[in-house]
Amino acid sequence: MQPNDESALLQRAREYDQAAIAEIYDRYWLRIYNYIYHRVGNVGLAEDLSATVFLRMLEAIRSSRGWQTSFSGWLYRIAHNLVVDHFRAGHADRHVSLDEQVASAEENLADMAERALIQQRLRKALSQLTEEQSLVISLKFVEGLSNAEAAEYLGKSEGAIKSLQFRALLALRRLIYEEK
Amino acid sequence: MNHDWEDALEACLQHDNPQEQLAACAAQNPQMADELRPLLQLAAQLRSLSEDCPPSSVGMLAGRRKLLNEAARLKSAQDGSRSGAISVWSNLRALLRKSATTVVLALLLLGLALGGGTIVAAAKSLPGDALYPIKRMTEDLQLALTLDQQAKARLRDQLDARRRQEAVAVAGSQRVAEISFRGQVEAITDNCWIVSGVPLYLSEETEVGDGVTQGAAVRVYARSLSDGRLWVMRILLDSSQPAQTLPVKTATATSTTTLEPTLGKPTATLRPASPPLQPVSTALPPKPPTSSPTAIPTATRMPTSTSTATPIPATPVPTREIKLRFKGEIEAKADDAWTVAGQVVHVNHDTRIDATVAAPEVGALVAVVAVRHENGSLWAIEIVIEGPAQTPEQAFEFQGLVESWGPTQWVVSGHVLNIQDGTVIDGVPEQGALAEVKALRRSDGSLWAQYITVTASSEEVQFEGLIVSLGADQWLVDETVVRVDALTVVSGTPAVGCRVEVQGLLMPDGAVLARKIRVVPPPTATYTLTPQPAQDVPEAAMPTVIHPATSSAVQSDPQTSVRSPDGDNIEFQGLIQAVEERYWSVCNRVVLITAETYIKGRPQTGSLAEVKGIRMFGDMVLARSIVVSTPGAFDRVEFEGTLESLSDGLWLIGGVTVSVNAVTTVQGTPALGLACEVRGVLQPDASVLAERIVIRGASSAPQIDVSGLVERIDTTQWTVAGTALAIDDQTFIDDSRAPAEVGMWAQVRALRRQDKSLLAVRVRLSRPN
Repeated sequence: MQPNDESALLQRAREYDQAAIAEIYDRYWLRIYNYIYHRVGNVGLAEDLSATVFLRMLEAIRSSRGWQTSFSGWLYRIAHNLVVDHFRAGHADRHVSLDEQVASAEENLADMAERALIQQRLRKALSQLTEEQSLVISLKFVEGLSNAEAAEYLGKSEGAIKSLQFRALLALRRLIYEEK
Repeated sequence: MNHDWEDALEACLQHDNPQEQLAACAAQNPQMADELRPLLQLAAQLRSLSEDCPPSSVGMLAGRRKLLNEAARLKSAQDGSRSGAISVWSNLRALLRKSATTVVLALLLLGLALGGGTIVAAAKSLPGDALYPIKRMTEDLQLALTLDQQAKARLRDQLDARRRQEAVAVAGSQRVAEISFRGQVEAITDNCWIVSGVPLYLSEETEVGDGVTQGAAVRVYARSLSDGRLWVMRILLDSSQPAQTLPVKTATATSTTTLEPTLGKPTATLRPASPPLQPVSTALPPKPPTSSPTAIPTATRMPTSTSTATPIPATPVPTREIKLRFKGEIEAKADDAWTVAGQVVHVNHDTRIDATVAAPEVGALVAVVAVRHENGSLWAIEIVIEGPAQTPEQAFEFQGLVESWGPTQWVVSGHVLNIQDGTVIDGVPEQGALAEVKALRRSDGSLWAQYITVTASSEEVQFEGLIVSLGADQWLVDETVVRVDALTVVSGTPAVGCRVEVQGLLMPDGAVLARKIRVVPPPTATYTLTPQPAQDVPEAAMPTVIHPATSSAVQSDPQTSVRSPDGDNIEFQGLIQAVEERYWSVCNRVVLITAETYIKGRPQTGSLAEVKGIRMFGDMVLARSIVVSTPGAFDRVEFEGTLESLSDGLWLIGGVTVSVNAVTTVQGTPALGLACEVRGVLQPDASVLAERIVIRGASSAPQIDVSGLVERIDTTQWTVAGTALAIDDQTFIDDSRAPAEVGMWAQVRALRRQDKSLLAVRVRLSRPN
């Protein structure tokens, strides 16, 4: 999104323009959803928290509590805080898989179990990273963004992203090692 | 230095082949490469996260609609014309905001009332996280392996009930989750429905399927929120299940324009063959066959503050049903389904059962009037018992303690014995004396004594040991057979591997008739299956270690257990029965092998495997490490297996040839397909000379393998190595190496059916030698 374009869109959203709000939602929903889902591992919960992110956005969009530099980074921060609140409320690791995924008959049961354990371990470790580390991991590895794109999202330099990424992976490794 | 490492990591991540780049890096700086390798591995695992579970478009669109509704409301408020309407979503959102406080308070209160361990234990019992789909898959597998139609119907009902229990539990624990289950609509009020006992809430966004009325069999798609309620997203007719009240061909439609529950009165108007589409008409529930017309609310949605007309479900097309009558004997009988003349017929509270002539028991002759639904299931309207069971008298022998005696009736270990003229009584009865009884059980269940031999009061014994096996009326504690009867008081939850104190009476055959059994609590466990605080582990969940050279099973040290986010840790040893690429069969357990499984030694059938892993479901274990060793000749070994063949002196148990001779103690009556525990000495030819074989009962293994010469071939049955095997059109007969003829060698994989017979799944033929 071009800055001017985004700026105009956000200005219209401040006036509760339905088309502008819908466009913002369509642009960012999937990324926010993915960010949340890969921390909570639960489709329904991720959908609910994603919806809450945008409602929070709507509440704050006219106030001074809004974004300073990057709108997308601000959305991610709302999402991050919701996830943290969620875990603090004692819900960690207590969610039923919402989608009731049915394993395909072809998939090997052992692999599936192994994958599930690894992912659960990863999600748990991800939730213990700092906000910035968690964001950069999500943008780079889950969302597949380049350093330049991640930098734009987070309002940082590419060098800072590289450094953050390295520290985040080190922290993740440590957390998983401790878990094991 | 960090910059160099960050750059090196970035270079590897950007490279098409990170390992190649890492190798280049290692050539310059090996230490750096060692450091980066696990980070690259982590990055790959993180990328795999993005592959699973795409979001649902329904969720995305629902969120969008809510956001825009909220924007409209804010804009309206901003414009000074705030509407009095408060959307349901706003209420939900408010609840979401409150959720953190509510949950914390609720947990604190519950914590005070029940104690932390109880809460954690309750939470643990709920379906689990990432492994939940595996549980569902296992259930599907269980359904597929259940061949008996009656058992399958029962299992399906159990699974439905489990789904509903999960729904209630999930809502009760204030989780946010999506849930789907089946049930029957029992009550409909303004915004709260009861489906098979589960309270559900409907909002303006709930989609109510056509024909969903009280009594209808439905599938519910709901979402539990942190307010502890289940909010229905969709509720649709479940075509695979019949309605609780059987539909009849008379029905009518009543107009309604209100959102309140409508009181409909059935009339005798015949439904047109093709019901007219009436947007404002609502379907009446089907008329129950035995009850008079009653006021029944129609399906309705939660009233809203807006004046939008609620869509009314269209009149359902009556299902096609075929009424049929048949007679036969009751072959099996459960609460919800009977088997009559080979047909499974479902019964419910509307089924009229006429038992004036005789009791509705297995063996009784009955006449059934039933309807066959489109899915093929039979639902009984009426069952008339026309004659009593013709079951012949059955011999019944047991030993027990005399509790009371008289000229016409004795009570021995809880069994009431009728005394008749021909009853032979040897010895003088006294309270607590041991009696050996031979009796006949008649079809009404009464026992008629033929011989009663009373011996002096038996010796009281007390001992402590580990439960090796558990049966309905007989346990094995260490090496002692312990009989339990109606008078045995059991405290605690017994499970294989638990330590128990037994008090009882020594029987002439060396068994102990238990009067008291106390399960000795295990040492305080500090299992950390989740990141939550240490929690109590139920005794039954304690893992066991079965030592091959001893007869005992001991509790594993929980401190040394592998941590796991789900499932129970387990360590055990046993003989390898089968080795496949992805799984092994060890000690009747399916051991799943993954790339993460550490394997030491060369696995082969008959080798000893020491397995550490995570118990998943049933006898399935996800292996973390396996150490394989080959027991040497004349080593003592112990293993479990299914009895696959029986011949004079040579049994095949779990793929191992077992020699049985005069010194072998056999406990129980051997029969093909039963689970056995064997202790003996390994012979140079890899067979085991058995010292003791304990027949445990029905094997938990769903399949067994039989090998041997084909002795007989009929259309529906083969005999291989003396074993009769049913053949059906699903049996895969591999005759690529040898023709399907008597005298050929056959390797058969078979499933054990409910009636203990074997159904061949695969027959692989080869020429002898």
